[in-house]
Amino acid sequence: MKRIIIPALLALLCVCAPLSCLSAKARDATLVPALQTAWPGVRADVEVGIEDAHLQDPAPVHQIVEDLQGAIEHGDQVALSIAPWGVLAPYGERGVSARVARKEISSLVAQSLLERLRNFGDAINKLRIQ
Amino acid sequence: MKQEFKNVLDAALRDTKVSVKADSAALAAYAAERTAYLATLVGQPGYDLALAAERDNVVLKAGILAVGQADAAQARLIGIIQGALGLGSQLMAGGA
Repeated sequence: MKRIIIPALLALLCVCAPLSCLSAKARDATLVPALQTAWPGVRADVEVGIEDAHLQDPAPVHQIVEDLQGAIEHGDQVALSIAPWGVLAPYGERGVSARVARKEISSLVAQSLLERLRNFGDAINKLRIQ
Repeated sequence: MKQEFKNVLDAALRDTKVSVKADSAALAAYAAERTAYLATLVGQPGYDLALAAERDNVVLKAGILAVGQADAAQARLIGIIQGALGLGSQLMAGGA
């Protein structure tokens, strides 16, 4: 029986072990490209929100945006996973509201933009769970 | 015990296939939902922005679902490896 079990176990481990990095591959192959696709639109909303907030010193928030831009451009999963999206998300929502107030978009169109912000946040959170 | 070993593997593989189908269906349903919503926005101010946002929504959801699916598959594989090692060691210890 040992002559059967050991080769069978080794064969199983040879098949399963390479597949055990499926999660990391899925993050790299699907989630990061999705974030890269969505980022320009998300960034635009965030920047409108920062502008609308009339911050005394907007530089720190702009720096977070630039850091996230760099992480997205380079597909840096580690930097993305620690990106302080919680700081930027309220500016994104504010930006969408500001666009509605300026009549640039309708309130129904705003729902699509807000959904994108939620999905973007969920995607960043998925990178955190490894 | 050999049959038990085979049953564990078969069940794991069957469940993984079900999970893949469920996630594809979930993405198709989400895409259909967003398309239907987009259809209500035609002619509204900012429609072009909504179109781009809905494209991003579906792409992001696909990524989120793919990662969820991969996480589940990976957890299942770890379970399979652990189960195989456990069963294998019992078989060998039994000297059958």
